[in-house]
Amino acid sequence: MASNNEAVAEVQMVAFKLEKEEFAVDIHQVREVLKMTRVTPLPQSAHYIEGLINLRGEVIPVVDLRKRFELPEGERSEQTRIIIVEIQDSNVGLIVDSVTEVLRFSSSAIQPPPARIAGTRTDLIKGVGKVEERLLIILNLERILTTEEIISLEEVTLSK
Amino acid sequence: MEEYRDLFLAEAQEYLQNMTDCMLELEKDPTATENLTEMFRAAHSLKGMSGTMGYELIMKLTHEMENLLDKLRSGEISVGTDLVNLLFEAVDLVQVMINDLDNQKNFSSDVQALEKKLQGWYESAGKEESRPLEKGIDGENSPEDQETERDAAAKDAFIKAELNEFEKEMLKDAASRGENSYHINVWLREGSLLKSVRSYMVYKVIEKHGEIVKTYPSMQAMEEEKFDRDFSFLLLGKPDLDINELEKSIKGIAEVEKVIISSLFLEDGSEKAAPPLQEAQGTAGANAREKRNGDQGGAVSSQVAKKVQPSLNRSSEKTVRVETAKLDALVNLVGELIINRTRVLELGKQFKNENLEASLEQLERVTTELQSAVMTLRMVPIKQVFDRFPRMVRDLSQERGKEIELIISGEETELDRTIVNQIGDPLVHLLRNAVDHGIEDEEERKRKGKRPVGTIHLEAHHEGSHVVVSVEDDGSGIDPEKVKEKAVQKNIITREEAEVMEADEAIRLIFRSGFSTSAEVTDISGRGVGMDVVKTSIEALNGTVEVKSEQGKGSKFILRLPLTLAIIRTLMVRAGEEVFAIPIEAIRENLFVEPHEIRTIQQGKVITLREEVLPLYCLKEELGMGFFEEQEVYPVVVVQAGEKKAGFIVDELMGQQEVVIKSLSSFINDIKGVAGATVLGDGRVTLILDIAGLLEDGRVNVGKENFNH
Repeated sequence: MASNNEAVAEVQMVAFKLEKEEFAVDIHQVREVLKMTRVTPLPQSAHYIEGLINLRGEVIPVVDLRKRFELPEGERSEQTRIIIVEIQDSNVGLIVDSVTEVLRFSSSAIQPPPARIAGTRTDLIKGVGKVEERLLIILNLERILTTEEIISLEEVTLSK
Repeated sequence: MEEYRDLFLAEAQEYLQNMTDCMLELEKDPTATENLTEMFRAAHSLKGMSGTMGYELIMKLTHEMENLLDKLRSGEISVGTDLVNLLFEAVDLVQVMINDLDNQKNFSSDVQALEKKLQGWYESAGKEESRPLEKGIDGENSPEDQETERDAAAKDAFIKAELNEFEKEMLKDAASRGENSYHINVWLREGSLLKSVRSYMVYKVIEKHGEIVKTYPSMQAMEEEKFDRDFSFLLLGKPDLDINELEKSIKGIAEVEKVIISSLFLEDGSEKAAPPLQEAQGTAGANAREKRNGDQGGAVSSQVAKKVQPSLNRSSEKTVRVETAKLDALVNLVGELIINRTRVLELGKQFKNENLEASLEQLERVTTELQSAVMTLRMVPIKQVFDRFPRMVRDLSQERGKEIELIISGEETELDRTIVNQIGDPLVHLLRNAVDHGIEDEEERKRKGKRPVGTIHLEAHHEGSHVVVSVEDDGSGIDPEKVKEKAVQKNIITREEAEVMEADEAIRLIFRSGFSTSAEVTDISGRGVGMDVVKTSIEALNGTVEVKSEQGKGSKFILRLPLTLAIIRTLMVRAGEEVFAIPIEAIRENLFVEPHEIRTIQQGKVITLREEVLPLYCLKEELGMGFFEEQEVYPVVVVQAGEKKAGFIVDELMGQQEVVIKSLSSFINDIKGVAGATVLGDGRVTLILDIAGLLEDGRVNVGKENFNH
């Protein structure tokens, strides 16, 4: 991502969890984080589209990221959150297991996606952020949400 | 200048449309010279306007058009199709130039070429020289020229306001009622300050004595002090008007130096001013100057003048131009307000307080009125779309070598701007189809004993909360057998299906995708868009398309469109845990059906309703949100789209509600059966069903594949 010379530059990321994996999305892309709310199902849409929610009068589609990555349906818990992100000028909600925190990365702590991990699709990952011992995957949400191809969790994680 | 540009564009558009209309009329009836005069006037005004705005090329071109029209008017050349084509070419070029005002230079060679053509036409016809350009400009739209004209006229000590046809008509009418018209010229003292105030005071005084038809300079110019010392009024005097009295009161105004009041007499539409009746301070030689182009304008028949003028004379004080984006924002806000109103009303009911209920009722009334007021702001006459069709049909029929008359009615019918913007293409397609495949060629028509000239009716009218637009031709009609044959060939239906298919149903096959009735691909209809596109685009607007055809007699396409897109009345129904909104327009009736009334035919449920077999579907099953459950009684909503009818079994009928349609996100592909979503009073999102989509062939069972995923 950013060049190493500009180590001073800082990026803020919203970190969230799916299964055991940790992901992050640039805070500029996040409009807000909601608790799980009532979602109106939408027939005949892609299976990972959970439905529609009302965000102050605006009708917003919500994607269940677990379903997007072909994971078994998870229990909705107190921790379940909907992250509203802005993609291509529209708002989309993402259902995630939990939102952990807002992290600050110095831009040098963000690496381009590793090219040679078997099964990982680099086109779906924008980069990998490193905080102490934790590795957070920065997803290429535009790509993931605008294609209809099936994507498995393995393809967006670094685990073998 | 920039701020006048929009105005220029709007007016130029109107003049071009006028010219087009007149040319089409003229082509039909070359003796209708009032059309020529009208065109001449339009070209002339355009020339003046573009000159003022500095669009020289447009000015040059319109000048040549004017010259040619002048020759036509004087009878030196006669009207023919070729000539009309040439004039259309010129109108088209002007149109293109107006659309691209910033790049006028690009057009200079086009303009030159066309200028030559136009000149060639009238020079070969008459030896007379064309009128030089400079002399030509005298339109009321060209203040600069009026300025120079004024200087010359100052010597006459009498400024004559140029009258347009409409005003002349007014004066003539007045004269026939025995009212007199007067020309009042007022001079202010040299070096007078506050000229605009003085002129306004004079205006106020004169106004008491009758109706002011015209001022010179314009009211606006007076307000901005864009005049020297003198200004004039054209007054339609009250019958008991005392000239002396009027003169006295005008002279009573401070800084007024001189007043001349003269009576006007109108003869054959061109007015001449009589010698002044009164001359204050005896200005010698104050004589009415003949209206310079009185001979040109005077000949206009009163009919045309009456018809055309009101639209051109659109008063700038009475209308305001607003950006459509602002209008849309307003409509959205009102939509939000309506949603919130519903919410507040629901909450209010819990309190059972009389005063609160009364004010909530009031709130409801006011917001309902506000809503309809805002909706009317978005309404525009369908004329905006219809206007381009006479020209199109003319060109098409010429190309196809057919003679076709297009009859338009109901063009004043109003509907939502968004809909007007979107029905253009479907209508173009239907009209092209009628020209191309509907109307037979002359030989064939004669053989069939029809009138050699084909007719296409384009009609619009209101029907409840809908607008119905129809395109009807008296051509060969649609042959159901041919349609079936083609559908079988294209694998749209099987041969067996074709054999049992009724004629009506067969004709509707033309709306299936992949179907095109044209045996030969012409450059007119063979553009890869079929009737299915027409249907899809009309349905996208919540409308329906119907076709009626009688072989040998013609076809009729009927489009039913909603008046507005933003807010619709719906019936709320519950299916499983979800609530759905069904547009009232699609609902025929609600029933309660008992189990014994339901029969099963080919694995489908049906009931017999007034001797009609009605298929029944379980809504929640169709939407993939549950399964049909046995009950003692089933609430059924009978819906209709086009000619298809069906009953949907629901779990509960929840009453009517007005909802604001919100489109689904661009992330979600169009979902057949879902028109959009809305937010209910309690804040939850509800889907608005698209009945036409649900009833589409083989479509019912929308959700299954998904929800079983």
